[in-house]
Amino acid sequence: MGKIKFDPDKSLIVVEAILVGKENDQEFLIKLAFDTGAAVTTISYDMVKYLGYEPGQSQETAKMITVDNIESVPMVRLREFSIGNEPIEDLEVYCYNFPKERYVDGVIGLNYIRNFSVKMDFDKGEIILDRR
Amino acid sequence: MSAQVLTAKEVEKKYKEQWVFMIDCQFSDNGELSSGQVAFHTNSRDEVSVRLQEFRDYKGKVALRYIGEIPEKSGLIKWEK
Repeated sequence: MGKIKFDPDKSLIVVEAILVGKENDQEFLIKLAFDTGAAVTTISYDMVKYLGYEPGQSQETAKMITVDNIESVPMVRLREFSIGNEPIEDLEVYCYNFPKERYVDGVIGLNYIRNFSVKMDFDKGEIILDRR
Repeated sequence: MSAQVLTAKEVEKKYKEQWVFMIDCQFSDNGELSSGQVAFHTNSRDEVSVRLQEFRDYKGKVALRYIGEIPEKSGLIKWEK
């Protein structure tokens, strides 16, 4: 069972996630928004590329609807992705060029979240993930 | 490059309104940043992308974070007033 702290008073639920590099076993901790309204976990393009994945070579793409556009974005599979020490292997993520004026490097979407029974406690500022 | 190990709380106090990249990190059992060495810090997200390339072959635990408050009613993106 994973427990993740968040600030319940902020406009975004921001949590720390760990991404594993494609080949060098580097573990990269970044901040992402926990977003039950997002279908697919989406990570900034430069982070994914830095970790040795090749979004520019990806044959798999998706149409992504943003606030003012519809864009084609590449998809890669991360070796391992976790929050609260609850890893999911081979997770599909979209790679998106977020504007540089940002606070976090992406969103955690339902393709990760649905692997768990999720309790969000806004009194304690805590998300509890219980693997299904 | 600093060799000083700082806790996550110390980093948040010292580098307000900046992006901070840390190496040689320790993560807690809950997968949160406990401590690390500050490799670089900058207020430019573009500079982060460039300077990260120096660490592509680094083997170990690293962390990147923006130290700053997210304004009320703000979303994923930092809107200028």
